[in-house]
Amino acid sequence: MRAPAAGGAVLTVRDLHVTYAGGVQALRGIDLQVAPGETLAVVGESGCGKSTLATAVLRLLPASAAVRGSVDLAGIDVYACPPGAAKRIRGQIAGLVVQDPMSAFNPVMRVGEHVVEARRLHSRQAAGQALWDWTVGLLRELRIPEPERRARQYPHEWSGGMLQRAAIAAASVNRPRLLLADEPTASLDASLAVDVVLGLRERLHTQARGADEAPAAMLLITHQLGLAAQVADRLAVMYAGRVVEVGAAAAVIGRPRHPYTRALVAAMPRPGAGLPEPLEGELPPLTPAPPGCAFSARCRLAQAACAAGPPPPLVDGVACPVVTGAAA
Amino acid sequence: MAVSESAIEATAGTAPAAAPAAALAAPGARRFRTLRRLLAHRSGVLGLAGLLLVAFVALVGPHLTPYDPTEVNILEKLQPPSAAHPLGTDYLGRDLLSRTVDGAHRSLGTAVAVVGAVLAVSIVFGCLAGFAGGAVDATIMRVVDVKLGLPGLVLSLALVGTLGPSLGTLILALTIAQAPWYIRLIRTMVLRERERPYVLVARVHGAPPVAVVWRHVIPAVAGQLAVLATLDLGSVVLAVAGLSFLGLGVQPPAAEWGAMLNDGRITFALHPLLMVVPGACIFFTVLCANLCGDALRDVLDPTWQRGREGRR
Repeated sequence: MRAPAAGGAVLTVRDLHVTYAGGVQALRGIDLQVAPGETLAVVGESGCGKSTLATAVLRLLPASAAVRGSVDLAGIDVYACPPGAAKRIRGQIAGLVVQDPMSAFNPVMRVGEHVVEARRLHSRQAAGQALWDWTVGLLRELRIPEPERRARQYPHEWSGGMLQRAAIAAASVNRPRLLLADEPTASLDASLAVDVVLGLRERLHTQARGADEAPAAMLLITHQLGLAAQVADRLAVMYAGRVVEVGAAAAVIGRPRHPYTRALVAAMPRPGAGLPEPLEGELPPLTPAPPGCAFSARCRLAQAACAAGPPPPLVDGVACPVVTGAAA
Repeated sequence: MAVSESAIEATAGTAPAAAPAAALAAPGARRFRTLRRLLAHRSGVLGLAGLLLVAFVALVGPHLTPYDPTEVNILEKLQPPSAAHPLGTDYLGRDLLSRTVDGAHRSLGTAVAVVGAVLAVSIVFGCLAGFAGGAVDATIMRVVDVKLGLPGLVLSLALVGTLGPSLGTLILALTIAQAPWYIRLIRTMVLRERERPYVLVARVHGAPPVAVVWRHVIPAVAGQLAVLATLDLGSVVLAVAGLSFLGLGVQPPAAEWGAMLNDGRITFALHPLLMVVPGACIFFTVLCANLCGDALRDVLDPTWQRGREGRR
């Protein structure tokens, strides 16, 4: 595992709060760091704020959303930089792979044209045969069969797995320092999912320009704990807009400490671990978020003090005073 | 990398002149593909052939007419079809065939000019309102709302009263009357498209808003716009006729199909050809335009396959 280096982190999120126009507090004080070459998986139930985090990092939230805190991407303060720098962030410093590959491609544009477009936006290379050949070469490298013919096809003529590989190609074509993958395997077969994400990681690592350049990092947003366990270096578990546990992927999955992480791991089917135990209850409403620990209503270890006061901070990678022994 | 970066940059650098030609050839030349697909579309071919025929008549016809379309010959008024006048003459003795041929370029030309102007204006303002949002959207849409609150005919009368009756004024008046509907519609389409994941992905790739609209939003709405515009071509031909009837558009004695319909109205019971001929011309043009619109919708949709017309 690569430890996050504070000075050289690709992404540093500090005390990030996002409140949507309806009053939903989607993010409530997120602190995260992603080091060069590292894969950080953000896991949690639907509605916990994972996708808002990805959107907030790229400054793509709706104008009506209120943002507090800071996001530092490769030394650029995303929310304080001028528009020119924001354009550089998108595509050159950060890339995005979205959930549904079918909807990530314009249905009236050929697949190859998407990759060409992504490349042209950040290079002075003219559109032409050379760029087209390069795109075909890239698709061949991603093990797309008959890339010359396939590149000229429309998205509906491709399978989901192949399209996701092409989406990865388009997102990584300008060698971004950080790749955000928001549920990149949600619409793929389980057998393909790990393959696609490992392929993506391998691609980011082999793309480094030389020995002096660090490989690109990845922020993987997923609700599939099993996938995160297989491909991530570190894991951040989110619940109701806050990070409740963060640490090395193997440690978080192998020895979960926060009651929510334990419940997530228990709900995950594992060989030899018996039947998965479903997690009872639902996420609390976030308009506004409840005081204290948002998980306390579903927590087996909850104490009277858990549901009061400010939300518990992360101490030693876990936001639960009962577990860390800090509770009075 | 299968193809090294330096190799590409070197190639692009040494052969800059070859790049644009290659750009057309490499992605399979989308424009030609659309034309090929249109030619493979049965009703599309019929519609296109009909429109080309009308366009040919409009362009070449005025030079080939047997008579001067405005020449009055009272002695030969209301003649039935004969060898000298294949379609007969009108109440002023003017040759109906010559007037029909001569009227084609005014009717079709005006309708095409109006639809073209409406599309140009509404695509710009509709995309601006839908994509920019905020104050820009609010300003454009309030102006559109005010215009939609005014009756089109009153506005047309006011414009003609100010600028004087002419074909140019007619085109301006119809454009102003039609554009607000289109702006509102295009804005709605853009609002829907801008939330699509592929638009988000294009923005994340760093595409500026103009490029996003040009490459992703407009192609996505082009099929629906093609159907709308071609359907409207017919109603604009009729609107030109209506305004000409009120004396606001094409001025007598110039021939125009709508004005000819009006001229033939009084004698319709005894000389139906005077209305049937220009009416049939309008019907044929509108039909061909609608067939073309349907075909364009199909061929602009990449999932359409030859031989699937009418099976959806």
